[in-house]
Amino acid sequence: MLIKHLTDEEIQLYALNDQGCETKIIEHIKLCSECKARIEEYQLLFTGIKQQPEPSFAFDLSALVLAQLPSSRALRSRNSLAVYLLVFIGIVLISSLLYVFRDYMISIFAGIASLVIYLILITMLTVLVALCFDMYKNYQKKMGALDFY
Amino acid sequence: MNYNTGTNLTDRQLVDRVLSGDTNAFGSVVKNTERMVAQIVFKMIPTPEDRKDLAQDIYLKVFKKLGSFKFGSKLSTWIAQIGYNTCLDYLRKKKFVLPGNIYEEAETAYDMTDMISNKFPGSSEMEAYNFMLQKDLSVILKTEIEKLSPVYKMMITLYHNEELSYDEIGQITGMPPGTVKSYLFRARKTLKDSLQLNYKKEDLC
Repeated sequence: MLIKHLTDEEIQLYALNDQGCETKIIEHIKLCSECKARIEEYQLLFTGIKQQPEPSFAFDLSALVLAQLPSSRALRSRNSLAVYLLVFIGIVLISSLLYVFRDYMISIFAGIASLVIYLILITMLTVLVALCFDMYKNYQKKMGALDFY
Repeated sequence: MNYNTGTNLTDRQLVDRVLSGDTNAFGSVVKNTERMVAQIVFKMIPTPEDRKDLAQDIYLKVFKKLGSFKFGSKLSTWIAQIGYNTCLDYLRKKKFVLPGNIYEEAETAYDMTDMISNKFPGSSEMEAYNFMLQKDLSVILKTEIEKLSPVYKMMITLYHNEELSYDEIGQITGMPPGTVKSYLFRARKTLKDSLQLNYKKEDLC
């Protein structure tokens, strides 16, 4: 059996769940009226906390929130449409330019060795992917900040 | 505690419905979790006029982020986490008590017992509690809970009223379960000491 009085943590643990305590603690409580009294204080406190009335909103939260949802969904779909439209315009523009200047482009690359062309293409693609990745990361970071503040 | 009392749908079914455009399903999400969000908002936000805006703000964030919910926890826990973060941001902006100050309060609480015994020798702690029973414990307790820091209040409510585990409170607050346990010990002790101190004050008058 413990000779010293129980710590406040041990008292709280016993008051919360007397089944999960060590045998020496249980034995001490059986014989120590001071610790028993401290347990009763906490048990009284816990009962009091449980009996506290539940707070509730004095308005219909669900209705208030739902009234604001359609606009945000519509905005999201409008934003998606704008992104798709911009990508489409970009592809069309680049394809048109390539088509119009195709003879000039072929003449530029005609004098260069195929190995150099591959090297240029790989470098360009690597830089492009890195730039896109960086832009996407920045976008996510900004959206996260907008959502939380 | 089961929060899906309003509908028989699981978290996954509700989320799937909302993501497929069924806004009424989001209404069910709000109804199922409103009680816990109210507990967090009421315990953390002292100004009643700001609670309405914050509650709406929390659910609008939930709606925006619902697509990123990975079912790593219960939906109610995830929503409570957003609620807690939103309230914390509000408190930071308004410069209310933050978790960083919590230790200072706890240290004060530990000294309180010594202070009581020095000021009022010979009085038993059970006397204080019996007196409080006669004076309507519920009302006194409510006043004393209100005096705690927002994070202490919220943790006590989530543990004792909402019956959440240390792990679940840890998920909501972003703290390790051990830290939650330690905060809760301190919060309960602060509350108990504060109750005893108040009884003595009244007794002297």
